[in-house]
Amino acid sequence: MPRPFPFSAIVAQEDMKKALLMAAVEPLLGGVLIFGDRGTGKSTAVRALAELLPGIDTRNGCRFNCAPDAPQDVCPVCSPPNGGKLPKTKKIRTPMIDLPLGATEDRICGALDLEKALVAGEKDFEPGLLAGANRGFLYIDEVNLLEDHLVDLLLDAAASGVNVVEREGLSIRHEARFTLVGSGNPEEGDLRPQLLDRFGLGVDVRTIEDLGQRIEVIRRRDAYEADPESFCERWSRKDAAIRNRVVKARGMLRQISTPDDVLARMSQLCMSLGIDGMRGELTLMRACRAAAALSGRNEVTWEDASDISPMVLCHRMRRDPLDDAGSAPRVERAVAALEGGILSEVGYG
Amino acid sequence: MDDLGSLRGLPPRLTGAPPDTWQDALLAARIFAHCGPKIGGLWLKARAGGVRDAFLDHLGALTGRESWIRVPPSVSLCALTGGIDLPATTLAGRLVYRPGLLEKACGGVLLIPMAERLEAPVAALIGAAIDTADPGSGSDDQRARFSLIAIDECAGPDEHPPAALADRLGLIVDLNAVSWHQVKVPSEPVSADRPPLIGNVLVDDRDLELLSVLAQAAGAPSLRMLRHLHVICRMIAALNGRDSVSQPDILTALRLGLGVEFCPQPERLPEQAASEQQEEHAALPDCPESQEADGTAEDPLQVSQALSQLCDLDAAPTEGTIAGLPEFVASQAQASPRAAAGKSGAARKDARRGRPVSTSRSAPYPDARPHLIATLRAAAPWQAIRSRNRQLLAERLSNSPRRPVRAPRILVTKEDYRFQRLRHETPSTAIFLVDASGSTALERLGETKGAIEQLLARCYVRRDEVAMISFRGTGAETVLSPTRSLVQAKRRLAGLPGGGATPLVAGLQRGLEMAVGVRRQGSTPILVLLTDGRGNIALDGTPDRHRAADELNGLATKCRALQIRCLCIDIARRPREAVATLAETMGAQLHVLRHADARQMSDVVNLSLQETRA
Repeated sequence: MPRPFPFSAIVAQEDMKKALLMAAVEPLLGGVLIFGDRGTGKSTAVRALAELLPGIDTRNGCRFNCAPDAPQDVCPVCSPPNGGKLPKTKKIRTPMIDLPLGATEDRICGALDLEKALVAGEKDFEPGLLAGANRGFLYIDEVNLLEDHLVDLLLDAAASGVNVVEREGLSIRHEARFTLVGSGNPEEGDLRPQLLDRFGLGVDVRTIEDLGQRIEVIRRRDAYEADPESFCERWSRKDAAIRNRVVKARGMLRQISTPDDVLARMSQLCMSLGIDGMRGELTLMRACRAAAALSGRNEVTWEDASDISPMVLCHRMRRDPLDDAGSAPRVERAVAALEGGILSEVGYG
Repeated sequence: MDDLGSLRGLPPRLTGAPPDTWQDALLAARIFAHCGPKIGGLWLKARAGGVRDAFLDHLGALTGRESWIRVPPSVSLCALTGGIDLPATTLAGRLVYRPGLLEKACGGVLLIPMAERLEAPVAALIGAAIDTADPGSGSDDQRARFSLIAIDECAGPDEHPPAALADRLGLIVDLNAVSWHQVKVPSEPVSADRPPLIGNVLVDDRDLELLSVLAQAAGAPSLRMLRHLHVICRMIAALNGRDSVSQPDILTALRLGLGVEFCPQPERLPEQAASEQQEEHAALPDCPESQEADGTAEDPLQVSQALSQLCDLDAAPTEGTIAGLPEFVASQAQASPRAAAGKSGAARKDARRGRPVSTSRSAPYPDARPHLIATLRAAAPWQAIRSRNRQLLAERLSNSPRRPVRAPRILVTKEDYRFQRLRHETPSTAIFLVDASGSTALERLGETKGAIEQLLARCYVRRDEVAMISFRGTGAETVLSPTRSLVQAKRRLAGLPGGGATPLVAGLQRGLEMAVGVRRQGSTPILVLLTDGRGNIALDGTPDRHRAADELNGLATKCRALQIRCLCIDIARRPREAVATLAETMGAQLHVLRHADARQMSDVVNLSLQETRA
């Protein structure tokens, strides 16, 4: 099976790459929503990310991706019914589950094993896509076209980290800690605002306009298609560098401090943009921590916040149905105003 | 409609023979056969007929028609992806999977007839399958490696295949303008020639830049398309036995891949031409660059001619001289409100969510799962008879190899299956926008109130809602927010003041905001605008007739773009052109009620509400 296109070889789209890496560092961010033009490498980037990240440990034959030291009761492999022998542990690639649009609720959550129910008359749980995505990524292309009730279900599982199945006489809960990545084209339909702000980061991708970069995309793609193996070999060192950054960032994430004045300014920013609830500030802080960790710093700075704020806040703002302009300029203006205000305070002080 | 476009605004071709569409189609067929899934597929714009059949036959001869899988017009998602074959599973006593169409098409061609009727989710699924088949996806699912032929039979600018699909199709063939006598199928199919290797064909950086700039100028900035164009122009060079791509190849690739043609500039007055020439050069930094290139080319005359064409093309989007641009470029703007109006939130009897209402024998939607308990309950009474039957059958088949290994505990047959039916209430909301200004007689206001009350009384059964916004003086106010309570409506409408100026724009804006909100809640909004069309107050409350007209036009266009169903009721003493124009811009139905009484008005709106459920 050919290796996916290397993450480091993706040209431009820095916002999208940064958002994905931040989500990989801090699973609590709550997923990434990539909205934008067609043919901008959304799927390529997500698939490349799964390849890039360090693998996870689990046991042979486990379908719930249980960690070897934390077996779940549901899993017949990791918690054998009457003290049977545990299978060996193994390292697998970070799970990257593609959620097809046609997927049914049963396929996603898992359901009664129809084969056993109809043929043998046994009640058994057949794990679904959420179980497979545990400790990894769940990718939904065209998330705006997904049936509403399925989106509700996914977001609920992503936010709580638990998948609860209560149907057909089954009552089962198992871990489903995954990073949700959704992509879509807003021209074909929008997401409900309640769903929008459940995504931690929202990135707007545009087609690359720069001629040189466009050429570079075609060239790299062509080289990759001609010989995937050697192309990946050529980029493997850069990929490894990014992998190390992510691993290091994950390690130091909990030690990163957020100064009070930066936190205060974040709250001011959210208030000036009229963002309801605490989710905006919380996500902004977490995202800033992830960004600081990625760049190897021990402290969050205001630069992190002002860089990241459009990504965190744009999709949370109440949208004017008659306003065609994007909300990114509004966030930038608010940031600038805040900085201006702070600077003048400093000046007067 | 491309023909219409060229008749209306586009300059006629003055010089040079137009590229022969049929020859282009044949070339596209060869490229399609050789490149296969690499370029996604082929977008065939053609109505049913001999020309299309001839082309498809030719294509079939090139690619092997037997490997074609035809997708039925209204295909369900589960038919594409496959799934468990329930009847076969119970019969065989083990899990039997039914392969989906995408799997069946593996290694062959997936043919989509009537692609303009394809629903967005289906198109997205097919697009995703093309993507995962891509070697770059890293997916181990390599079975879905197929190429696509989408036959687009669109009749007007309102119809076009979903953008998710169109973006992934590398070639465009438009056979609508080809007449039967032009069709000459090559006697012996070219399939025998061995596929040329495009790996050895080189593209100059400068040529690639040119390709990128032109594709962008032609309204196709997607990098996926650029990738396809890159493959196509290399394939053209390879078919001609060259190992580098020349500029005519690029022109051909653009013609085949984007469907753009070159319309040479019409003869112009010299001074005008000169000034425009300068503008073009000023606007296009790459023109001098590419003209440098023609020194190195073999045939300077031909290439410079081609280059001037290129510059024309590059300038064309600003002048509107490109013929045959792919439709999806402007799909958003062209969408007609009437085409989709009322379908979005209409009643869903076979909903996928909502309250369970009953169980039924037939699946409410194509990929529904049976309701297990109800199914077993239906099967229970028959168990004794069935097991006896089965024993008899087993005795008869005792030496047949098809004999099941052991008898299942429960015998479930096809007619036992029961499906849960869900009902999801999706009401409609009629939003009345009432002109309460002095220019409208007060009596009409009274009639409107009456109409609303009658409507509420009538549509209570259907759980429809009614809202009312009145505009007078300098702004609009929400008199009645969406409600289905007759009592509340009566109370609110009791003391409605009238008189003053006509802030039509403010009213429409408020109505539009409310409609968008209502739609977000899952209801279908219907705007009912009662006006005489003489707005004289701008959005900010100043009496500026011209600005008000501009703003009104903008809002009306917006309304059309949002695809909100509108009714325009002219309540002037004499029908006015202003209202007709407004209705036209909004995409609204126009009604002239000269002697508007409450009953007539509520009839009109009620009819419209009912239509949304049809």
